[in-house]
Amino acid sequence: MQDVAGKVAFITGGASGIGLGMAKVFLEAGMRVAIADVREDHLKTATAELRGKADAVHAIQLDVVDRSAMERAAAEVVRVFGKVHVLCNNAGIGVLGSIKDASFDDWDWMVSVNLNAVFNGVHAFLPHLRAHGEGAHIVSTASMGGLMVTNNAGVYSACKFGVVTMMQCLREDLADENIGVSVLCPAAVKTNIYQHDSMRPDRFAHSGYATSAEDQAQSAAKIKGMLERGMDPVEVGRKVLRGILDNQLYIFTHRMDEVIRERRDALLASLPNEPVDHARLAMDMQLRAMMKESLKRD
Amino acid sequence: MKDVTGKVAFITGGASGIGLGMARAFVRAGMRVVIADMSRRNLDQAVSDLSGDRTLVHAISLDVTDRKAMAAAADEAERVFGKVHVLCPNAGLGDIGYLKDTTYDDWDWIMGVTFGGVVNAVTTFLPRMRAHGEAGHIVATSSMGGIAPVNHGGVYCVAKNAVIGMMEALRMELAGSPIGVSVLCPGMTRTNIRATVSLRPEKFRNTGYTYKPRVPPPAAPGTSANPMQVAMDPDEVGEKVLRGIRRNDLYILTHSEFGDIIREHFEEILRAMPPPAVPAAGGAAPQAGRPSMQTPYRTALGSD
Repeated sequence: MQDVAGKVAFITGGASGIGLGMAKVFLEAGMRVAIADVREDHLKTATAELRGKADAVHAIQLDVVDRSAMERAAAEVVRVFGKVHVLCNNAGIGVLGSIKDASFDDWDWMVSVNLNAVFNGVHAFLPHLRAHGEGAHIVSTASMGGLMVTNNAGVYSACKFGVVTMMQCLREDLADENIGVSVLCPAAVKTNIYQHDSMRPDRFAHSGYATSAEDQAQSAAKIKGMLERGMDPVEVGRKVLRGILDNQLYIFTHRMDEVIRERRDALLASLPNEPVDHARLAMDMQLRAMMKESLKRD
Repeated sequence: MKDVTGKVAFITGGASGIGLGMARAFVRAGMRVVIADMSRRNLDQAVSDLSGDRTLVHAISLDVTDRKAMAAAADEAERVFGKVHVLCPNAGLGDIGYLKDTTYDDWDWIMGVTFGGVVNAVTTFLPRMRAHGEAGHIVATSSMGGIAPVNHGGVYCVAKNAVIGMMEALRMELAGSPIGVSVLCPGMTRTNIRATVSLRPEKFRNTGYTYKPRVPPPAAPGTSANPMQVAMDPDEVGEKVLRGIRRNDLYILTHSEFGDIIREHFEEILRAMPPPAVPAAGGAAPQAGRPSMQTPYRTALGSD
């Protein structure tokens, strides 16, 4: 998308944190914005904060896990603003915790919000993004934790690894339809992502993280302390807008090349110490091309 | 895990393809093996193929998305062989298509087996493996398509990369414990993974992958007519998995030809990073996330 003025964006998790940062920047750029959020209180605060642009803002209470609600939200945005051009799959929960102690409920809650709901957004909005033929963009919020793992965030990282791949694939899928695709991989940003316990639905009540309320408060305080020194969400929003205009696949907030290089080098060092099998490589490339051909619609 | 003799492995999708290749390698190394699989017929075939010796091989019919059945399979494995030391969540689906064409049923089915099946196996078996305290290993099957996706791989590649992130994190969590962790990322292997398309349950019948019938690809120059003849033998993959378990390698890469693909994939990521921060006068540049960051990458290679 080369010109965003007058265009319409839909942002999940749009009432606080990075989502609200995006909303502010998009409004400044002359866009109209629908912010969707599961938190009614955050929607109220955000709407009040964006009051000066009331005509350009629409708030929707939405649980991104609910597929029919997501489809209804897409229809609502089109009803209110006529069209939708930019989809921001941004809602996420930042529950830290290990894989070794995770219960099925821990997995199900995290995977449903941080991974499956991104697909819900794509599925519900793609027909609307295509419908007007004016060009569109999809940007999903992953994390640096989608390209590397770090301590005590295993379930979160598994989800974010999935989001990164989803955007990599979707970008090629939609390249010839004038729909750009980006994945936002932020490091520390000044947000409230550590505030999640009140949002945990009853159906996922059983957690394997048997920490005391004290421990939880301590861990939240630690993350809060770290994030408070992080990047301002509005600055992240500016990077996202730049990424949309330039159709960048990866949008980063911080330079973290060292760890990425370590990961690359670890993979390269793990290749078997054998001569390259050129016949197999040629066949692999040919199979990919053939598969692409055979998956074309008639 | 240096010494595998007499140890017990549990392999999902163990009755054919790469799972069976692992089972063969493990049995040759003197291990006892539980093969779990959706297909009863493949299980019977595999057991006789593996040795026919029921004191070494035990077959369990299992749908990896069924958590109760997974727990029952763990109970059964322990009843038959005592303890499970090596867990191989290997079952996966080869139904592929573009994400733009993917329905909720496609997503739920492919993610449920290929990623959810790994979650279910680890969540069920790991507490038992930690409880007996003996040396153990977890190796989940991903794919080169998890590291560097091919776009028509769609949901398959999403699931496979989620498995990679999961194993990387788990390895870090279990560092210093007697349980090692690896992720297997094979390239083209002589398996029947496309046949898994026929396993789609009725409840996920609404697929968006309604493409015209696939044309078999012609032979590559200098190879025989069957493209699968240049693919790697599952037995070779199995032997490489065994070596990776013994060495405790994070990444078990089996195919040597992916160097350029890995380099290009990472180059694109590195090119997109912002330039280095300018250090403030007299101070060091701020480093996000440092200094407490741990990663599993510097210790990815194990040793013989």
